[in-house]
Amino acid sequence: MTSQDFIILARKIFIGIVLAVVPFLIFFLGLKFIQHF
Amino acid sequence: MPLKKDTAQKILRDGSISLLLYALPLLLMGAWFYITGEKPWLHPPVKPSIPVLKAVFENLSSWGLPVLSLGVGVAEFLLGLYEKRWTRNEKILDLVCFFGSKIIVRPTVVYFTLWLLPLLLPGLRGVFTWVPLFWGFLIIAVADDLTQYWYHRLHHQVPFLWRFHRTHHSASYMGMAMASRQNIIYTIFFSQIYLTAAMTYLGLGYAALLVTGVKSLITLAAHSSIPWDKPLYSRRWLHPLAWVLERLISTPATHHAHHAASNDDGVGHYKGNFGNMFFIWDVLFGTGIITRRYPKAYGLEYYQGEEWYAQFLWPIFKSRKEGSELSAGGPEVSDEVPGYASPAFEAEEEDFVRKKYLYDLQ
Repeated sequence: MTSQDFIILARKIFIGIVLAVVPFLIFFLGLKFIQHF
Repeated sequence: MPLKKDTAQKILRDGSISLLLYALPLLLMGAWFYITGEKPWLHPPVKPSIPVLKAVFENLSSWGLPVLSLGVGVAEFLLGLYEKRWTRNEKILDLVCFFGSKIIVRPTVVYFTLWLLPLLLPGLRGVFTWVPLFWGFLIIAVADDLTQYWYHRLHHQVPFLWRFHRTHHSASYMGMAMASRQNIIYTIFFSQIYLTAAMTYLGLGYAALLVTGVKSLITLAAHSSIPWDKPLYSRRWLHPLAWVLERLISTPATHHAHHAASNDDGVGHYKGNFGNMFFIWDVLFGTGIITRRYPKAYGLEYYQGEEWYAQFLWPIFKSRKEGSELSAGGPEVSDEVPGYASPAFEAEEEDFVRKKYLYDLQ
């Protein structure tokens, strides 16, 4: 693997994490908000 | 190869709309509780309400689906659906992907759920067990499938991501053999499985189990070479049902179009139709086409039959095929390289030159 491959892999993993974390935060905060009432 | 400006703008626009789509089940559930005055978080249920259904889906997700896909795969093979296209290299790749993903991905997700999540989210285990099954199902269905839509779409539209997904599209046939065919890095970093695992940890496990079961059945059927949706298009009285189904879920017609070798026949749409369980995301974002027909050829026009290990493990292992996307220094997306001409176009051009030559001779 070249350094370029590692950069591509890191960028790919970053996108993957964003795709999981953003919806998770929406659901977590949304459900907490509903539970608040 | 940079991301095209108009593609980036569409991704940004549709991504913003998706934030609202993620929130939609919560808004509907909140409104429902407001209208009915229900407050289920004050009295969370102790046990799942449908234990028989739970048992069915537990068996389906553990051994049922692999057995089902193997059974359909054997039937497809016996029916001669792979013909001579299932070469030694393709066979090894399909089998390595099928068993490799089961051996590597499942333990990774279990490790993430049992060890990492309690560290990342201490004290939050089961905090949302109060969410009723119907709403839980809706939340997980949107969470899982919309995330997978984006994961999938980005691997087609962002040039540097394409080679991680290319393996799934290099098969020149449809069927159970290629349904699990993926580069291992694409499979390990599936965003939606970690999101669903986290939601399970928070208490939505029962809903997640149901969604995973239903989704697996729909996606397996969409990849199958058996066109279960065909009768819906040939019988006029079934057209209203077909109209709804083909917009709601992935069907063989819409998903086969996504695996087409070419877009030239008006049926293939390999840079669209990204939906996995739901097709509705493609309808909403304008990335889908519905023709009720099946493409003539599948795979990649520029496929060079790259070595199975390069397809499974790129970029750790590279292909030795010169000019391949998977070779060292190869192009990111072959058919977007300036000057690229598809084999069909080249054949047509050759034919034209030959005919012109013959005409000139007369």
